[in-house]
Amino acid sequence: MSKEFQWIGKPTLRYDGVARVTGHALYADDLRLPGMLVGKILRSPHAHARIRSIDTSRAEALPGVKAVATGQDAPVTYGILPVSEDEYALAVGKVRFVGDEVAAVAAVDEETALRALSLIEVDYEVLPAIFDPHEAMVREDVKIHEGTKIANIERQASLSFGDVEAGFASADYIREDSFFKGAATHAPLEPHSAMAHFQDGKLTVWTSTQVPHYLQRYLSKVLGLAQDRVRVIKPVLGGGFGGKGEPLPLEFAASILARKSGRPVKITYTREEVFLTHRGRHPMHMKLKTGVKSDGRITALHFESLLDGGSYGSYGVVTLYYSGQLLTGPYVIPAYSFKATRVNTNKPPCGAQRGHGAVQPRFAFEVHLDRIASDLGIDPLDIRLKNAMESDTRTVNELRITSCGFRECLERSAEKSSWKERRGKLPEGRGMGMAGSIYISGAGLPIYFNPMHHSNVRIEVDRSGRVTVFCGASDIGQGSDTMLALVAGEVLGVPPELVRVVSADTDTTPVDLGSYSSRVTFMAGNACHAAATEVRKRILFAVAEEHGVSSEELDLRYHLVEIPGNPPKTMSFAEAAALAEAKGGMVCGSGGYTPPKLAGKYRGGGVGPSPAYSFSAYVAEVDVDRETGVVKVLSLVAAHDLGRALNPPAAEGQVQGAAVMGLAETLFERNDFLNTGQHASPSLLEYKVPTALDVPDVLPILVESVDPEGPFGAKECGEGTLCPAIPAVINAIYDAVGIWLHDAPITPEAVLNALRRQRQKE
Amino acid sequence: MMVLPEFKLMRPASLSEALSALAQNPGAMAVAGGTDLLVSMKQGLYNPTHLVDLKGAPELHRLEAGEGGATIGACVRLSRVKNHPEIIRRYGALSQAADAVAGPALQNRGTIGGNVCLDTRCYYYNQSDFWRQSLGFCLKKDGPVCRAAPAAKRCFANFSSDTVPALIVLGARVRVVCGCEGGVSERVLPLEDFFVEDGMKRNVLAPGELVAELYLPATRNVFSGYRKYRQRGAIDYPLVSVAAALSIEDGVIRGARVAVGAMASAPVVALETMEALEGAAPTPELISKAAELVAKRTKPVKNQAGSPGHRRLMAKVMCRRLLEELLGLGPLFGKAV
Repeated sequence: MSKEFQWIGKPTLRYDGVARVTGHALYADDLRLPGMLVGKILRSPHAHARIRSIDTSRAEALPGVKAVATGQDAPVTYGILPVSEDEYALAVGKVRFVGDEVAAVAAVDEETALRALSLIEVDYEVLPAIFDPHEAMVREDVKIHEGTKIANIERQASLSFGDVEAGFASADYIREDSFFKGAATHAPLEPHSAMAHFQDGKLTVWTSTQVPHYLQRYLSKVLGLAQDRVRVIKPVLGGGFGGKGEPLPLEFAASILARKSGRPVKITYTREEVFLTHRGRHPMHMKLKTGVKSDGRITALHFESLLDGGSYGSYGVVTLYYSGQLLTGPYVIPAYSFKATRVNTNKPPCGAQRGHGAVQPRFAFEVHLDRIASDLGIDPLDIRLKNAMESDTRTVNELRITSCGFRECLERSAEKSSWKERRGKLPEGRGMGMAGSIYISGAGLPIYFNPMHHSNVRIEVDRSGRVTVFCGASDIGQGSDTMLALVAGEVLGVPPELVRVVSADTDTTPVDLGSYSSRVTFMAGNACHAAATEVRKRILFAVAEEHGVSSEELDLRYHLVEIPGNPPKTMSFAEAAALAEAKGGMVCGSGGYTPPKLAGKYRGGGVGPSPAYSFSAYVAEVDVDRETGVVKVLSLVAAHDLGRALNPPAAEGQVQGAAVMGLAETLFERNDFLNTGQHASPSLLEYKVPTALDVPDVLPILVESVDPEGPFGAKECGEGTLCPAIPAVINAIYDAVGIWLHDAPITPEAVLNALRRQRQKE
Repeated sequence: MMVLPEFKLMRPASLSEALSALAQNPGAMAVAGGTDLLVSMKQGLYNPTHLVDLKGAPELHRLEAGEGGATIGACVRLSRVKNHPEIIRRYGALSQAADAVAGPALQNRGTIGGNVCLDTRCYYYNQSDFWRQSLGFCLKKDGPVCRAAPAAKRCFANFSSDTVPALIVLGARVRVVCGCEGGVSERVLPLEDFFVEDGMKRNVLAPGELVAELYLPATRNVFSGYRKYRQRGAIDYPLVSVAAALSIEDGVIRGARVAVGAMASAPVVALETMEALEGAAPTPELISKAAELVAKRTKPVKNQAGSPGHRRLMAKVMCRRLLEELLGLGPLFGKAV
């Protein structure tokens, strides 16, 4: 396989691309079954209340209503993390945010279902609510969850690595800063939708999920069904970004209603319900303290974060650890400590969103680092190059770094933007800013403890030469089906567009843990590579036997087996596959992937380790209008080390999409709440996802460090690319007009206020 | 998706039929493009028994513009207004304002009459029934108090039309029609008199009345333009908008008209700014001084993104920049005839 790649590194058409752009792709909400009912969820109007009683009799009596469900139908807790299973399918005893799910109905049509909701009588005892995380830390009189020991603190972590005291003692300069990163939400184009059908003791759920396997486990737990009685199928999905990365109320509600009514039930969220479901970016209050030598070399770092988790656990404990654990790169930090706290408040739950746990601290640290550089009179590029981590090293918190193209990211983004030539010489109001980042290529540990593979692939080839890849991986629009076809095709010498992919169906595909933590290309890709290699061996062995040559002498490329000899011969892939089937029966192969054991030997050491890390460095150029405070990002040069670009246009699309999402979180999107608990902007009119007119040119640079363990050397590309966008813009604003902004997202008003303070100082 | 409540759709073929449909059904509402009304109906803000679709009335589709002035029927699409060569040439502010509405798809659907009659907006009001119910509703719909200004006794919902400030500075008059015994009665009034500074009442239309047409006077050497301040480059309603029209005669400003949108429950004519400009020689100092006065008659409340103070400040900046452009102190925006 040392020869030139056949399809890797060249543009490959998306597996489902034509179906998507022609409108033929079937999303969950497009699905219909005979006799299907429409499900709707009744939500709490109160931010915090005890449920005294629920009377559903009038709703049940309404003609057309086939089932009504409340929390009592499945009073079993669940939660994506086994350490924080604090949710019910529908509320039991209490509601904890405006929009919390209380009851559900299934009816013959949507109008009847909505009318039935209005007939459900809930007697609430309204309780005081908490919206501010600082208040949540100390309010002992208001307990959002009964189980918390101190006030509403869900979890705290405090870790220290290396000699932090000595690190600060040896520093020539120490700087401390505070930052706040506000909430953002995923805003996927496709609203969540789930259709459930219960038949012959078996539950089937078609749903817009990133994690079919975890959902299968939790449906089994909550509905009291054996796992093999539950089938989860993910149809074509229209964007996840983390918001569909855990079991959600609609999936349970539809299943309970289907079981009760004996008919298929579909629930599709309204856009407002998508906002209320949330599980997005945690608002984070952060403090940093960094010691440096006078040349800018970092000697020690201390970090503190307070995470506003909203009403439930979700992925929060992982977010909490990531917030601290991923700050030990992409710079060498010889001594490091962090303290992180996650509290509950009466708002929709926060969870995982693209760049999970890393985005907020990365924003804070990269701006903090620029402030240090500015204090010391060092160029922001130089201070980053001076501290940049290298390949085959280990961080102070025991993260194993293998491939690392961070230095190249810095150099190439600087070169492309003419950093050295242009910075400081731009017209009035214009500025350039830089930021770096590191991100995981898949979590080293599964969400529930088990010794099995994280990803499994089965490949079957039939006598026609048709290759089918079976994998539980969930294509959520990022293109993982295409990746599987490409990896299998490259190994088997079959054009990727001819490879079939069957994915994300728990009855027919082997387990993959799901689309989260940027794990799919690395893990499912490796599993697919292993499965395809097994199939390749089967086929070549059969051909070798037939022609009396050694299978090592054969090659399988471009749909042909090349057989050496005088003259050399070829055999088509289909002929070779038929031969293999004739000689040894059905041609199939399987492969799996388990990351190496990398967890640090300390509590929390399981979050952060990854089989590989991606690196990024961005340069943003902005224009600041001093009179209006409006910041316009003119360009963003985005260098990202992804190991190897398997399908470059798809990789560039990931970089651009993530960068735009980062810019949106910097300048436009605010997931805020009124002081009475209502979402302040639960619509795509008022939640400001940028339009095409608001987005600059994003110029991706794909840096290929060729990871020793990734499939064909590939690593993560979809999430880490978001992280540097925010601080690169904030640093560019400083370069443009000399103000430091420590709260993101920024507003024109905040820019004007900072400019005013700057003038007062002068 | 949210459910559209049940209603009967009526599709009259003429203006008089439309007016009698409205007169006969007290619970009926008129609809043209529906880009605003249908969304509001899904949110439970309006529950009409009937929708009277005006698009079938040929009388409402007239668009004539030329040397003698312009007539624009209520059902003329915003994209037609925006792209009409004589509107671009003679009434630049109006073309720019139509271009600033939402985005191209909505401009193809929405009408000038709909934009003139646009409901006032507020983030306590333009929400789902669930959302408003959880807050206890607001004065404009089903509630006891204005959530944006609880101490006041009125509704402060925001006037948000883009085209109206432009139409006002261009001297538009509006023809309001009503069905009556034996035909159609009508009244014509200056557009600024059509609006009422009350977020609930909004305008002077009585039940059964419709906006039929808008008239623009002939223009000679008039420069006009429109500026909109919003968060994104498209889609958003204005946080502040400013329209201005003026001419230069013998080196001084004549016929200056300036109007501000999205700062109150009705468009606000900036009389102080107009007074400062009238008869004065256009200098940077004059423009700055005049722009400073533009928000004098406005008192926005916190019912949109951005603080009221910031919106007032932006009104001044937008006004100054617009005047600079019109007077050639910046790049020329409106073209003179």
